[in-house]
Amino acid sequence: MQDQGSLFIKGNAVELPVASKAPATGILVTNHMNLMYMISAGMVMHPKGFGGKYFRDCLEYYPGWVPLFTKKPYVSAIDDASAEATHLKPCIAEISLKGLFGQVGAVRNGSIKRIDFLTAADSAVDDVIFVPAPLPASRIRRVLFRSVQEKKEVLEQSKDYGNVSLAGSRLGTNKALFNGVKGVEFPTGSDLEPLDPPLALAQAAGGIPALLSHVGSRGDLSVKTCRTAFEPLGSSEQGLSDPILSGLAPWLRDGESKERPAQPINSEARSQMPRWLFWGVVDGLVQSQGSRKDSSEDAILNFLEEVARDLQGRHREQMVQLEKDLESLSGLGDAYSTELFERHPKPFSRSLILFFLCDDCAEFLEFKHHLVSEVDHLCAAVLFGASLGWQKIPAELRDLPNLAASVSDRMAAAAHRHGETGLGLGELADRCRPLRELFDPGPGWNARQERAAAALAKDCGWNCVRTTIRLGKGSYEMRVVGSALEVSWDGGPQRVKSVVNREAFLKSLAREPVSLKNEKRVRKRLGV
Amino acid sequence: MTNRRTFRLPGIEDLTKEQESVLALPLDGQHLVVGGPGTGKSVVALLRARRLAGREHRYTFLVYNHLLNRANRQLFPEKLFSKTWHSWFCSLYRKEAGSSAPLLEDASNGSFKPIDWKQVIACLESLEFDRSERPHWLVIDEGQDMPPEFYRSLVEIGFEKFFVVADQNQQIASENSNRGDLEDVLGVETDDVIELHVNFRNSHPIALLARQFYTGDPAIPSPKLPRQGRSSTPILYRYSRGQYGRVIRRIVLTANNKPRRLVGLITPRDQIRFRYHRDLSNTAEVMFKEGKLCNGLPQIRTFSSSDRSQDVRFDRGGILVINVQACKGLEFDTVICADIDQFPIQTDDLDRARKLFYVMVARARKKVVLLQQREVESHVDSILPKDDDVLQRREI
Repeated sequence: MQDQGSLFIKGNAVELPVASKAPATGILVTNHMNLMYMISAGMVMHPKGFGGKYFRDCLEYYPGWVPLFTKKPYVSAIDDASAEATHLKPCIAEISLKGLFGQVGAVRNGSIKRIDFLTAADSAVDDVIFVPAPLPASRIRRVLFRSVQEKKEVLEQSKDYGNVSLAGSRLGTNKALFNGVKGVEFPTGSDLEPLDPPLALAQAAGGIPALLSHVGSRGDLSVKTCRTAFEPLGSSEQGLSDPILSGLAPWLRDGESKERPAQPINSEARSQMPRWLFWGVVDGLVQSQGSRKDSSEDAILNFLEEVARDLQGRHREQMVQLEKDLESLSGLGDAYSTELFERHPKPFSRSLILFFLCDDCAEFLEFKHHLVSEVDHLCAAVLFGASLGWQKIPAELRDLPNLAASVSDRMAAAAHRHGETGLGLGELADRCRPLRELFDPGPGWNARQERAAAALAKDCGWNCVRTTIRLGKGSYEMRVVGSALEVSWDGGPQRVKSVVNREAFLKSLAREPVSLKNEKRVRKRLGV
Repeated sequence: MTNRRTFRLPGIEDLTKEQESVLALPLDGQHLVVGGPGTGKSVVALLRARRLAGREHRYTFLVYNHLLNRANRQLFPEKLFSKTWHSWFCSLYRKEAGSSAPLLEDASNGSFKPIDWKQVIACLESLEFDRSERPHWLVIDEGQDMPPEFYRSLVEIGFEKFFVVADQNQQIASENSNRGDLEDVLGVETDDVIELHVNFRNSHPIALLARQFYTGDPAIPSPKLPRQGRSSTPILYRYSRGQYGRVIRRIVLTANNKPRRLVGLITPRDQIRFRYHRDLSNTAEVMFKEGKLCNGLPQIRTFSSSDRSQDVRFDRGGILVINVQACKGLEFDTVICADIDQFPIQTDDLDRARKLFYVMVARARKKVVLLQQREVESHVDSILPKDDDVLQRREI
């Protein structure tokens, strides 16, 4: 487990108070549509994050704050949550508040005041507290409905979507809780200033590590990049020496690219160009997701056009050519992909070509071309992650052990860090490690790793296993069957031993995409 | 990289509140949903079929033409009980009335003979049906293309559970139903009809071009434009006869660079369809042998309703060459309207041509390309938008 809760306070470590009367669980009253939306987005968030598909509930009462009941909820809140449309079903989500620290809101003398969660919030006094949004969706412990029928209907409806999975959620019913506290309303007086943490940025901070987890086995650089994406404030950033990827940790830390070159562009600035160009593109992608105005492709083309205006000579020509080639990929272009990769040999351009060539991230993960390098792939994964965010990554790609929980925590942490909301999340869930890291070549594999590697190599058909069969005394019959040799004897083998050639195994792992089915299987074998 | 395509369930953020209200409709009863192309009518219809299947209800998903029927069956990941309305109705009639459905002999159009609805209804009215024994749901896509008598006959036979999605601005068939007909026959109040407004399928520039061909029937609202984009602005390529080979080569490259995309190459008539299919196939073979196609040989196929034996795959990327009459209800990643100068356009009925172009253009999800021969005199320019922001013009 990693403590990133203090990251919102830049550069300072915070000592957490240990004993507290603060509530351990909060109850969110909402409707089934908002709930499913938040589960797919990975965050319990304010209405701005719903992209026009928000149905009125108590999340809109105090912009940027999540009202959480600590006892029975108000009936008025329950009624309001299903008032906007007849098909809405009210529901109650139990949210863990464990490890939270910082400022929250609570009702004091009929008005909402800001108090310290750990020292001033008191579950005996506070019926409802107001927590800065967003909270990680992984903190939803249980979802309750009014009736078994409504629960069944919501479960059925969730299957209409490609990115809502209630399978792992604890669903239940509790009619009494929905009878709630009558005749009480939320206070109108409030000291809570509206909060607006950047949710598109938070989505990118989830999408990038999620996609890097899928390309994280391509080599040692991939492992390091993946680790950096999950732990941007850790020490691992020093390990990234690649000119572009070295910008990953600063970008996640600052929430934008701050490295604009001085004008006019001199030779020193020119050497930094790939880095600021690439992260400038990432900025553009996040902005386009936030504004929902331009498509990702247009955000990239607009950025390149703008940059080309400031360049001169050869650099300008290259930029204009790249823009033209990318644009031609969406029309009747006259270049084939090999020509394009040959014409643009650098990771910045190649990652953009990959982004334009592949219509979605699943297609990208399958993409293979002899000219495309590990860095090209990693950069393209960052582009797809920033463009899609966590929410638009298909459900099957989100279904790796620890991935949803660790991404959900990091998205919320990024939103609080950049929104400066004053809330800390405490320890964040352990990150999802790429397979290559789980088969870390270090001093040697243990028996479990050895067995898992042999099984994966067999499942994937990789030629990197050497098997020795020891036979007892006897006479052996050998015959050729098709292209194989068959040996028969009376009795069984004394010992069968398979040894994986680690170098060949890691090479295959780097080159060949592992199907999700095989990936899940090997992770299970490894016990992670 | 494989060229496999499939129907992907929408993300929750992809469906609007309007569409959610459609999905929330009770399974029983009669429902009518109207909307322009790309508003997600077929998606909500497929999701409804999926939900009926999940509850193990008997349903039939009816579509207008064979090609759409094939597309749905191939792309839908689960088994879809999908039929074309005409053949399904004929076999239903045979079962219920004990004889073949009467056809209009004198109005034959090739091998297709329209049903004599007058006789059908007269016969059905004379029969008695046990209405309690029809626990069968009908989900009907492109419901505007079936005549009102079709629905009347079904009601007569005892069907009660209808879910119909329709867009009368996309009528291509000669017999069809307008919104009023559907409301009457299904017994749906005007206020209960759900209208879908937002265009999902097309990118902003494609929707903008489609709007230029919208003939403006107020019964079905024109879809709202999706988010803007420049990279998918439709392009009109004008080429001289001598450059035809280059055009073909570029189409093959487009298909090869994005092997999962399905390109719908829509032609005005059979002669042109055959030519494009032949030349694309031959060019692809040559380019493949030259080692130019790094994603392998793209699937290049053609289809016509008179020859249904061809193996058309919608679950694979590639190029499908079809005539405009066959494109109804289909969806392609890229649409190439070939030789638009060859479409019969009468200056006294430009709306007819606009309707055709509206249907063709609205089939595209990501890109629309129009091809025009420079040397051919045509009235097509009179319906094409002049604005470069709506339709870019390039020369080959």
